[in-house]
Amino acid sequence: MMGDSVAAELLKLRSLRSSWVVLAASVLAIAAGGVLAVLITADFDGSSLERRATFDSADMSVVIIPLLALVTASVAAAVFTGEYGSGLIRTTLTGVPSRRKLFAAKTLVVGLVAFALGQVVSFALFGLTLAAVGDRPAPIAPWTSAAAGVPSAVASGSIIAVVCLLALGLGAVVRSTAGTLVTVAVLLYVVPGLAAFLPAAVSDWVFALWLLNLAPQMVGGDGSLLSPVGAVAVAVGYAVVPLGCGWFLFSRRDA
Amino acid sequence: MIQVLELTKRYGRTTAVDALTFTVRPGQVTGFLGANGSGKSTTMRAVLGLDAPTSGRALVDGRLYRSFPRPLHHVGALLDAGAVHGGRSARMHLRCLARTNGIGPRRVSEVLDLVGLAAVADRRVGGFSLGMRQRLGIAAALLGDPGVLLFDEPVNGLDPEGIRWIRELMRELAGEGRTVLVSSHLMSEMALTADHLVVIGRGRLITEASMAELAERFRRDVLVSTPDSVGLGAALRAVGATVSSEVDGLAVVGLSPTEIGDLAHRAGFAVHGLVQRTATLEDAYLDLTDDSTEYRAGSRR
Repeated sequence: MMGDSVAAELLKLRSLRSSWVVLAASVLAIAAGGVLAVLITADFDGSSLERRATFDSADMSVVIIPLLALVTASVAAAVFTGEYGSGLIRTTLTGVPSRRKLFAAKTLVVGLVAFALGQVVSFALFGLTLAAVGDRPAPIAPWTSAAAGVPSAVASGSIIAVVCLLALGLGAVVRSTAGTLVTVAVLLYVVPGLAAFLPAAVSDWVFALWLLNLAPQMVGGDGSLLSPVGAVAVAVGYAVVPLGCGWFLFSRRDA
Repeated sequence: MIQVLELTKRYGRTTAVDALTFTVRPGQVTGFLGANGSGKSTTMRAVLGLDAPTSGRALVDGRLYRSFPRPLHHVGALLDAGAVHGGRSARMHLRCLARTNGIGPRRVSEVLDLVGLAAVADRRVGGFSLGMRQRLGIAAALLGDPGVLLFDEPVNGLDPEGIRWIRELMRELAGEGRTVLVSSHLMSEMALTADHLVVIGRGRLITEASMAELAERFRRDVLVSTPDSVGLGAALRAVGATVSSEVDGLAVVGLSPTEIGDLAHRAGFAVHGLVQRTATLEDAYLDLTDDSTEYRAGSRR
């Protein structure tokens, strides 16, 4: 009766205001990405040829996805931590005494919802960027053709799912929302800053393995240290290792 | 039926439950009595498969709780009224739990009605009083119409009307042939609700008895008022009774009021009052737990 548990977890997610806040934030993020793409394109059009050569691409997912990742992670973390905070986890476990089933249901729901959300946001940004850039050349055009941008959109959207599963697993380990989110924030935003103080050989690798640097490497972007398969494997590791630790403790600890 | 068999639970070096064995039978309300921290909640969590026992077992209808695919149809539990997400409505809180066991929204409405929360069903639980949360917890326990019910301190936070309601509900549930286990640290509460008592102290079984047996066991003495305490006292002692003087008369142990009355009549003493005194259940409980405390303190040193 795995279906019952999955349906219940979906119902729980749906019935919390924070889930809808995240959805609203996602819509806002898409709109902000679209506006930024239009602005940077207009700036590009008004610039000299020399300045145009140094422009960044108009792909705003680079800015939007990392920010949205933390917002979505706050909901994903609370899937466990929210229940531990009040003791609700005990009530839940009286309904679903099989911990394997409960853990699987939570993982499935968070993984699928976060993946879908990430893809929707990522493809919306992709579409808006294409529309804003039109037939302008590189560097403002992030991709040589629309088709060439699809893998990149899939990759950057999937990071949302990775971060959410990481937060879910970590939440099962730490059992505190604040602790989980601080850890996620450090991984997302602080690690590259610290890596800058390390010797170049080390910091290059830290940077290559950094969570938010995996999406471009998945599609073989410029300066990739990891192969696409390697980058996907590292991304999977970011989700699977915390989930494994979470499961190990969740299956053994008293509730 | 709930069977607790040689259940032991240790947390680090603390023993919360120590080789506890008792059975909770259907058709009566069984009170689970013990001071705060005596191991009642730990035992209940072990029955529900939430805490893994260090050794021993706890079975519901002969099975481990975890072996029920849809346990809410067999067992209902109120553990902690605070275990809710304040952001959900009462109805949604119950629907989420019900859904895990394939129970539909109609049953959710029914139990909300049953516990008197229908009017506030769609309000956020965060604004509920402790009493309303207790009712919500009871609604959750009743969702699957289970044959076995566990309530951990259900009257906490309830107003007098709520307390009477829950007493009647528990009696009703037991009357329908269900197994009802209710924990409390208050003997006075149990005296009004329970037919049978399981008393524990420091994780150990102190006594398991029916309410009537317990009252019988703690029948104390007979208070005799007489103008001639010295004379009657000597006469009673002469037939083997233990007699001590009190302000109101003589406290006599070892003879029934009838025997004392007959004896006084034959010996020509006037008797102004003859009262069988029974320890209140509250006193009985304190006596019982005092023993366990002394025993524990002694054994540790």
